[in-house]
Amino acid sequence: MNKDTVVLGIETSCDETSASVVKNGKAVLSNVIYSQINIHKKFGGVVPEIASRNHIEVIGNVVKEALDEASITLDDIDVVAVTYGPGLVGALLVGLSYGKALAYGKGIPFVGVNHIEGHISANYLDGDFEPPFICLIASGGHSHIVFVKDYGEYEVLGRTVDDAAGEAFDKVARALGLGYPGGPKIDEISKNGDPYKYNFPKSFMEKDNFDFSFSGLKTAVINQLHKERQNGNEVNIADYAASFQMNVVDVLSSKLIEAARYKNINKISIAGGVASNSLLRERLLKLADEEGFMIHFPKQVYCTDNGAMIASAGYFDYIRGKVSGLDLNAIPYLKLF
Amino acid sequence: MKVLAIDSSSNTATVALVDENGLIGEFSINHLRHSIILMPMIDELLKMAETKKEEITHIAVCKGPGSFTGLRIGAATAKGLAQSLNIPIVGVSSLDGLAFNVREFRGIICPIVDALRGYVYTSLYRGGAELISLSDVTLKKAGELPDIVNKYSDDVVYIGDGIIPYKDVLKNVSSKEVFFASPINNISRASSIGMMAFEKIAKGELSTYIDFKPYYIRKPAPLENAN
Ligand SMILES: [Zn+2]
Repeated sequence: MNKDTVVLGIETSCDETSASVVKNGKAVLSNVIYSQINIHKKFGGVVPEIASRNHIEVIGNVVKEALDEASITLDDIDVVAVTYGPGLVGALLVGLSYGKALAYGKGIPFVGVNHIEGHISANYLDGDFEPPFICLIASGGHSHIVFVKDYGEYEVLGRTVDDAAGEAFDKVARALGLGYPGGPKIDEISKNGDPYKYNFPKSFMEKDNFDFSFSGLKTAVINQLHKERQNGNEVNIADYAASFQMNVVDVLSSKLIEAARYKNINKISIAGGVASNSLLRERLLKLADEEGFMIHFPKQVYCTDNGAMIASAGYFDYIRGKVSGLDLNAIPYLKLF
Repeated sequence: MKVLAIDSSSNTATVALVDENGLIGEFSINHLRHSIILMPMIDELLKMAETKKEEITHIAVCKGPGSFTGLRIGAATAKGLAQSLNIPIVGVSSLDGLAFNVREFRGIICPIVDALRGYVYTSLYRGGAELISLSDVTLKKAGELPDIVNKYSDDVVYIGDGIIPYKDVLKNVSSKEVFFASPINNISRASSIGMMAFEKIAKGELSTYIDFKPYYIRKPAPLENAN
């Protein structure tokens, strides 16, 4: 490829409507994110029908702004990349239908992108981080440990058997009365809590197992909280949050390091909303230093759902020969492969 | 003018190409799977009609009421086409479209779109040489319709997917003849959406890929229950 390839990425799988222009899979020319988080806050979580209604209202403007900010027009776009799963089906269908029609109208290729692949590709944005590496993807919807062998080539080493890590943060935050979304709230309040106050159970900590389970932890936190309240004890929410967070960080970080050792790979990275967690970052920096691993964190803005990561994944799919048909459907439970 | 019309708001996915003289081509599949088939249908229609996408001057799309997800598939497709082809969107009500299917009926035309849980989206028209709208779109219990229709002395024709579950209730109309649209006329036709769009184009009622919104009538479930 001698010529630059400019990709428009569109992401509407949950409650962020986002569009972005990315050159050659790495150089972000624009990344517009319209977050609905304040709309869903009062419901304590994302309401699918409300999310879909907001996507269809704002998507035109979000795409227009992405083009304007990149100072280009649709004529300069070579490929349209759109998330087609996993995610909320009604929400996915807005971006997917829009992206297909946009590419068709311009007569340019269209590539359906796996959202998890998008999160992994966030590591390529605005930098020169390259495969092979071991990636932990942890967000409200997903928890995976993936061996990224090359661009677009993955081996899933482990995944959650029940709740996603971000989901556990949301549920525990709700039980503690901290509100939604749980990740940032628990991160914040934990700074004032004692992480060693409660020793909640850790799941699947045996060697060579890279799967997660957060449902038992969530239940243990809630049960302990009820017990203390029933006993009339003064409950320190910060201690609960800190102990819970410590538990999740212990599990995620040790499994990531263990997976890298197992595959004999000395490059690790994290992606997804939970990758913004300050304790997780701190812990991984320390562990990576001890092990002599190279660690990469995508910029904070690329850890939330965004169009840039979709454009990047779409670019690497495209140059490897993948183009999707106009009959591509949204797949709410799409697997990485 | 060449209008590409799209409606995916019911069980039928339908696309049509129309101009001032009428129908150039139409493609309807009454089999759901809209997200899979809608764009290939548009592609096929344009190919068979030997029409370049650049010749299209307007995108007409059903704005609702109807299936929420179906409306958004249509709206998102219309927006993507409108932006890439740099042309306006014309939103047409699903009830206007259905009424146009039986426009020649000399009497009251009552389109009814099933809104589930015993409710329908409906409005009234008088047919004939021209289609005249008699009321705004509302959400009604199916059982209320005979009383509404009884206010007029004309014969009545019901049309739309609501006639299937509620046929027995709707028959209770006194002192006039009650008709039900044939199974062929009873589904949404993009050609009717397209023909109704010409009236809107003449009046300058145009939308863009930025401001077009589906018209749901119903609020999303959590808000509806809160009221
Ligand atoms: Zn995500």
